Amino acid sequence: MLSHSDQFPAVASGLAGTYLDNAATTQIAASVLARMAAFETAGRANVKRGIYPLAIQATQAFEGARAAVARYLGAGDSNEVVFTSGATAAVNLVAHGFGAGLAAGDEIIVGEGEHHANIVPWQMLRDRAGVVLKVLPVDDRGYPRIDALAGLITERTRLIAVTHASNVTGAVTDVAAICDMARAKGVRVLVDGAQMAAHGAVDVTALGCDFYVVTGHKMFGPTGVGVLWARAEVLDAMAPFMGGGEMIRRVTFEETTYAPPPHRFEAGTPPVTQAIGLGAAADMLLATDWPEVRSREWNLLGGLMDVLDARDRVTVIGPGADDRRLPILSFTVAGAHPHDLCELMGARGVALRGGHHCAQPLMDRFGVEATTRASLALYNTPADVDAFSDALDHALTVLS
Amino acid sequence: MSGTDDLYDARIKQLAARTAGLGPLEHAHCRHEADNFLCGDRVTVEVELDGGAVKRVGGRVRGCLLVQAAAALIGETAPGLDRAAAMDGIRHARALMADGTPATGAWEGLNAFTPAHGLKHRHDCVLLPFEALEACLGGISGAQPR
Repeated sequence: MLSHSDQFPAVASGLAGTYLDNAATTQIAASVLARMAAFETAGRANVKRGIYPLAIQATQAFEGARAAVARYLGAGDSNEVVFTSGATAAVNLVAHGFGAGLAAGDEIIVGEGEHHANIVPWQMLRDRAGVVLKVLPVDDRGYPRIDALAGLITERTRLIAVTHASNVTGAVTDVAAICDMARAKGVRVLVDGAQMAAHGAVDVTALGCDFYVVTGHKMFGPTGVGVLWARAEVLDAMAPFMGGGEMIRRVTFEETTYAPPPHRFEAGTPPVTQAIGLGAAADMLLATDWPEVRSREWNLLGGLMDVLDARDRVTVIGPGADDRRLPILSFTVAGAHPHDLCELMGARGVALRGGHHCAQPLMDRFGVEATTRASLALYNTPADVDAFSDALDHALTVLS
Repeated sequence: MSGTDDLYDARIKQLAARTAGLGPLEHAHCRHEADNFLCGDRVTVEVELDGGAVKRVGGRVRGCLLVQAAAALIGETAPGLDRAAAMDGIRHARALMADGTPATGAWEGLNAFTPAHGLKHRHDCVLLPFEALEACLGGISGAQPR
């Protein structure tokens, strides 16, 4: 039986080094590469329109990928899955499509701990449509303060946009609780699932949200593809964002009518190869023994936290080891800037991310400019924790 | 020592340790805030002039060791230089980063950053304080303190 690392060429070869930057991009799986290569070498054609065998096969492969992603997300219908170029594009699609139905004075609640991709599109909507943005604060561990939500929701609230799991702290939001409160008030909920999707199957139906976004490159798939999942009735009511081929029912110079979802939101030739790759990633993840993986990730996270606990001047930003969280760990070291730590540890083969992680409001909340982040995935091993420990000691010695 | 370790040699660390000496200026003639949008590092440079020459450099530095060291170098080198000579620092810094050309004259201290020449992803760290200085001095039209 192959180990997890054997399924990832860059990990198996060692070329990825001690790869602890999975919250930014995970390594791509061999099965993903194989399916994309098979499509490009023996199945390449445009999708949705052609009626020759190759095009029919291509469309089947493309729609098969949609169905695989739908299964992984727990969607009731694969037509609720819209392919985009990534999670950012998916949020922007909602900001334009759903946003087109909002009026000046309508309110959107955005989490304080969000990635900029789940802040800026709403600010842009505010600037063009006059909607009001409200901020759902996070607590000292980085969790959205659900106790504050009731006080923020008014009769003008139309949407709550929150992350499922923080890309900085790993804190996992109690999305179901937020959705329960929102549903009672007729408020839609958008969930940024970019981090969550690499750590086990999602069940959008059980969560009760209205929109869920993921991206391929953070779930062992290719770059350049992501997904917007939305409830069928929500998609039905949404205006298209981009116009072009493939998304219309009929075009005349007087009027254009639009195709039903998901095609209404997939103008132009979609990222076919990438979508097929994402489908392969979803299939791989569906076949993964998640209790085993989570147990291993949990142990490794504990190992990383032990390493940090044993060093002076280190502060962990976010939840504790036993809290509801993903294996994403941010920390600061007094007197050692994250870029300097990452530079020195990177030279020792340990891939980390230092900076604001596209979450500057959260940095402000914690009173830091930047953090160093180590993030785990299913192929990491105890040797990675040892390498992290050694490289950290080296960096701290150089910087002392 | 690896090439990366060389970047953090004693000269750079000693320079960076002196950043704390910058601080805000009470009678600054110009002030400019520069951000590295990729990483969020931010440098605020303030300059007080005495006639046509730089009298003091102050400000605030929020960044990595290289940003701190470059800002400290400016704080120690620019005072006494006329505006043109002070603004010339960025030309030396860019040349050093781009092709390793050693800095000369007043800005010779920049050569402490020579190991960064081979690390293109860190060039912006060294240049950020110099860009702030250039924009600060370049924006002066009169000589009245702010």
